[in-house]
Amino acid sequence: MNQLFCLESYLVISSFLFVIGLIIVLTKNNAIQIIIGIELIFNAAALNFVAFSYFRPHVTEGMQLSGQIFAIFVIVIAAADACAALAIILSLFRVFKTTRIQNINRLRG
Amino acid sequence: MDLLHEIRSMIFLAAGFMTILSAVMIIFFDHLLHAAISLFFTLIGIALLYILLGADFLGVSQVLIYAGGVLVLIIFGIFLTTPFVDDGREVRKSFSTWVTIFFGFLLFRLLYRLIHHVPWVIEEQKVSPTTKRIGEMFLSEYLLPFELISFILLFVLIGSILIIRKDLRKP
Repeated sequence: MNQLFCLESYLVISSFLFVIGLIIVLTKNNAIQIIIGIELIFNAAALNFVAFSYFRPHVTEGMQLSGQIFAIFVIVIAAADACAALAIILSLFRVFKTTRIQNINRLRG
Repeated sequence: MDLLHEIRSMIFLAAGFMTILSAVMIIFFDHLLHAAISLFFTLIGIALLYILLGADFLGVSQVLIYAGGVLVLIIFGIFLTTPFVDDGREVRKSFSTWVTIFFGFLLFRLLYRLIHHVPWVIEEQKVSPTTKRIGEMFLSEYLLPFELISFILLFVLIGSILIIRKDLRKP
């Protein structure tokens, strides 16, 4: 039971989340669902950063939390990304009246 | 101490299963709102995993920013874009979807074997409160990335306002 909480299980969870996000990005045909998939991929990367910063060997003092700080940067970037992508989707919806990406097929609408 | 490890393992198991199950359900939900609510449970599970790794500040900010901010943004996007007149049923699970899921499974298998192949050198850190130290590091070593990321946020906000506003040149 003690072997459960280890680096490998965290890496397995984060790689599973990455694969799920990739499948969602590749198969869904609604733009908002694609944003959800991108958020999952961001979360997988941040989880990897935090897991490596906790299980890291021989840390020097002062560099102990750098993984968590990078995860905070990832969260901020993901929030900015979702904001910009939803703005683009809303203005696309104003022109095309749909968010399905097969139906959005011209520029300068 | 041993009992503490047992409890930690059980919380880890529960949080991991919650994360993975709700992430899988996102693939199979066709309704957008159901997918968003499933994403909520995934994000809460990831916040629990962060807290188990001793990252208390990061877990709380995950709940605040993701489950409070980004998810509300996504749900508002769903409400604002879903047409009132339903334009046909959602596309059924086609053959290509299952092919993609199969190749995703192969990729996961590859990553899994890779993870168990590498001999990791592991040494657990001692858990201590991190908020004060993160604040100090933001203002000393990571000052430049901190300022840059605030500029990125400002530019993204201004840019999305410019994208989303109605065109003022047209009468």
